[in-house]
Amino acid sequence: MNFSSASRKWTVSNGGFEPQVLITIFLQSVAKHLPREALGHAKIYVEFDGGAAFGSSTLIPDELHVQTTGTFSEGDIRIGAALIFGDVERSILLAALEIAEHDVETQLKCRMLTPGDMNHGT
Amino acid sequence: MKTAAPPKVVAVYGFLGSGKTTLMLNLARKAAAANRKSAVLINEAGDVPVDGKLFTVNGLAVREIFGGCICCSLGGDFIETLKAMLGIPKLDYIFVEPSGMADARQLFHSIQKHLKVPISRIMLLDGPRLPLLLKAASGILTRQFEAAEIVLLNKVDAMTRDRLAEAQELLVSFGIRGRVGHISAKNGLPKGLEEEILA
Repeated sequence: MNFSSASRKWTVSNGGFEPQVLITIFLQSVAKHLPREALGHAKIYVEFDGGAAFGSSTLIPDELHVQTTGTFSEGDIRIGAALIFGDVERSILLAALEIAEHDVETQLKCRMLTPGDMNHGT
Repeated sequence: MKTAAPPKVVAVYGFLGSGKTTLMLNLARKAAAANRKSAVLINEAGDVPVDGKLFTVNGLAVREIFGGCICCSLGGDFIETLKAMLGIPKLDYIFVEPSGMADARQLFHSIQKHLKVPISRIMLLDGPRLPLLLKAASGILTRQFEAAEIVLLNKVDAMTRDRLAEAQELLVSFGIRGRVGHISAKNGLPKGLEEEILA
């Protein structure tokens, strides 16, 4: 079995939604766009002032495990996600991350900025 | 002068998504409740520290090794980091989490060779995915089984009685005839098992 991984970080300014909602949308989107029987693990954290929320899923079955420490009220959030799967090409994992980013932005009406976006002032 | 005992090293390993992080967190919380201090050494497969952040927000000292695998390309970094952690004063436990694709047999051999410290070896299996894992990742699992002291079938709360019986039969047909504990790491371990691991 050959393993591939893909990971990415973002920030969202003043998101008016619960971090757990973002995590659920993100992981469900990843699950939809990876091969049905892919063996691996998708993980994500959402860090906010005073705490953080964590989510993970093996995608089989479509189980999501979310846990939170602290209470989110408002402000910027920092997000990191990693996908590690066996016998799935890295390009497919990167595409799944992009699609999940798009789904979160569309459903939560927010903008997920990567460090690259911020360096270019977008 | 009496020298303080070195921390107990507990490795929790298993395939990706088997529940290693959840179990380690539970064990560390249990240790903390008994006024025992823990630190964590993890090998994150990517370069984003998801597990590291989870341990950190739960008040644990964390050392991370990113990318690759500590059983092969990063073995030297791992040994050096663990060696340094063994010298941390007043530390009771070091929980080690190899990446889910690690060759556990090779990793533990390397620890024995270079550090000569005893290491408790707990292997986790994802119960609901067991049939698929035994089919698609049998090579990795065989090496992981061979290195295990304790094998735990995790996420049994998500399995029916029939699925659990099927999993037991699969393990026997795979050659696993020793004791296999049934746990739900997210709901906590049976008391005796926690004590056995932390003893």
